[in-house]
Amino acid sequence: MSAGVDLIQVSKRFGDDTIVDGISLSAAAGEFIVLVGASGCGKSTTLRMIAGLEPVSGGRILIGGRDVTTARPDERDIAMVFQNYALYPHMSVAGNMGFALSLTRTPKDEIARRVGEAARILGIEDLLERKPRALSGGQRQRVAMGRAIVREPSVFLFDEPLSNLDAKLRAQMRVELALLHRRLGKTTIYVTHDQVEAMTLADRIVILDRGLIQQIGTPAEVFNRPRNLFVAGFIGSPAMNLFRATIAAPDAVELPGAGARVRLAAPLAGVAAGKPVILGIRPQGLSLGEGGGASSLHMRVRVAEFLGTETVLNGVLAVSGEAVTASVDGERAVLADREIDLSVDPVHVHVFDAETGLNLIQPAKEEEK
Amino acid sequence: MSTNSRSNARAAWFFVLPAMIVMFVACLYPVISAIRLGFYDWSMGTPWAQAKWTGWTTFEIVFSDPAIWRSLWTTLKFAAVSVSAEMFLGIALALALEGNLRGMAFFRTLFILPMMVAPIAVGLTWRYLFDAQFGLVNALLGVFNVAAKGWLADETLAFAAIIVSDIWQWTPFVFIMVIAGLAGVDANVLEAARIDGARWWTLTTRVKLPMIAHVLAITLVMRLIDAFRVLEVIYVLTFGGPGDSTEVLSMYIYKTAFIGQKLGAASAISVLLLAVVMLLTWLALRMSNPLSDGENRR
Ligand SMILES: Nc1ncnc2c1ncn2[C@@H]1O[C@H](COP(=O)(O)OP(=O)(O)OP(=O)(O)O)[C@@H](O)[C@H]1O
Ligand SMILES: [Mg+2]
Repeated sequence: MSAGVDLIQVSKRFGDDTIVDGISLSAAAGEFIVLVGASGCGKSTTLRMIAGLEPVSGGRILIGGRDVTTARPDERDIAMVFQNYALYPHMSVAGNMGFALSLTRTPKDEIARRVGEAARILGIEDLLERKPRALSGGQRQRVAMGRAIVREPSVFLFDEPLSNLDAKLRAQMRVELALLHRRLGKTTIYVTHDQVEAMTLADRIVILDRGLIQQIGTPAEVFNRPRNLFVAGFIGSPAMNLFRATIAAPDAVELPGAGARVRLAAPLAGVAAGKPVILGIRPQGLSLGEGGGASSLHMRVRVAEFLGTETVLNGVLAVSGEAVTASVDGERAVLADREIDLSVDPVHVHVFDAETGLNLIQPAKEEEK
Repeated sequence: MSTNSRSNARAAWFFVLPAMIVMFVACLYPVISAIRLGFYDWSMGTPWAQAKWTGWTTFEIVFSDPAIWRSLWTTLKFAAVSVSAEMFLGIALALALEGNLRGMAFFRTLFILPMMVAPIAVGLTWRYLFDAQFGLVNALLGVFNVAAKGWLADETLAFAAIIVSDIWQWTPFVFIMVIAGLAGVDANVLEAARIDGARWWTLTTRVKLPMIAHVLAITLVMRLIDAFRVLEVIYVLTFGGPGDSTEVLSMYIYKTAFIGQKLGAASAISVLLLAVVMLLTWLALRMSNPLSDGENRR
């Protein structure tokens, strides 16, 4: 069984510091929600409030429609996987996985059956008699997941479960997590600061900054239509280019200096010419050569990083000297130390209010998804 | 590689040797000479050259004397009762005071004070507290209309008195060790246990305490060793009496050596004490090392 999770104006204060500032969020039953944000923005605190490990300072938490705001962790029908795995060091793998069941006086053979089943799913049947300290990091990770699965909770909570693994194993576990979620269909709330994990695993991504939700949306939504500067800078790799600019016309933005203009895909509504804005262009929206008719930028390349399928060019804009990154087709490593022209794809252009940071391009075009 | 590692090994010996010499002189030499003393008849003050080789005779005489077995039994009772009470109280206090509530630091400091008092002073203090006429213990009992008792004059009460003073002095040691052990427990593991449904009692008995089993084992061993060698407090408080009711092994050794002037016999009993302590240490360390076996099996 799977249950939805609702946060209603949940906040958390430590002393005078407001760490989580009244966030509201609804995770549908079976949904995979990823919380992302910079270090210290309150992701773990939010997750711990859902788990019942940290009392809320305000607001309500519902799981499966039931108000669990003040319920004990074990009454919430959740299981949590910690970043450091938090296995019981004195118990075997089987003991770790079956501990919760043994506390509810589940019959021994039933515990053994369920532990065996979870171990089979995770491929750790051979390790059941080992103690955690005799396991590798990846194996501990599986045991921690096994401990969560065995309890058959309605909701899984993960706090950066893959961040202690090496890159290769992390990629592999990411795929396994996705498969596991599809197989079990349990509501999952997953904290990470790795945007690849966020983009690949999430049904919806929740971007947090300083205790506030900046945007909630599908991976495509937060990538293609970042609501504000923070989301724009946080999601996407390499990070979006941001330049100081002014509105020149409803459908054009002017960079300072020699007056390079960048055209927008559609005119902005109700924005006065001369208004200072931040122009955002994804590195993927820049390509080599002067595009016919499209706007173009002149770039001085400093470093060209060849990554196989693409080459990331790092340099500065000729007009203003502002840093710029472009992600162009591969095999172009010869570009270092050259001056080049880049054409701009209007689809990857964003305009943000210089004061509020809000994206001025209206989310009218639903087909953009 | 071999020349290099050989010269490394030589260098290692060079650095370790001074420490080993000190260890040998300070630890092993007294033990060996005590054992050797058991094979001689020697009284203090006389030249060692006059000491007579007696072989096993001393051991035979000493171990056939029922007094030594009675005293060993007294020691065992003393150690068992006081150490288990100290472990229980120390653990309970540590569990109660481990949090970070305001004022806890003060209490924690207060609790460890008795440990810092010299044993002789502890003995003297308790002698006054247990004094039949002027003692605080009887005064307190008087408040509750309990008749004054001659604590140190009654065999059972005197035994209780030395246990009480030992508990008073050494519970803090257990307390500190357990507090330190608990501070090292990963908070996330305890949280995982709470999510798994462990409440206070199960959390404590099935997660917290097992996680510090090695600390508990070391603490137990150290307390047992100390309890078996206890002397000063009993010396001051009861001097082994009344009768021989509080005559623990070390008290018996003391009397044999310095009152009976039988150093050889005293050494022979010391060897027995050493053997008992070593056996206990070995047992305790073997029993309570649940964390290591998973590793060994790898
Ligand atoms: N018990 C506490 N007392 C005081 N401040 C706390 C406490 N726990 C967390 N904080 C503060 O709350 C803020 C958010 O912490 P949190 O652990 O939720 O961050 P996070 O988003 O998970 O960061 P990271 O990515 O580094 O794990 C931090 O500034 C932290 O210092
Ligand atoms: Mg965190």
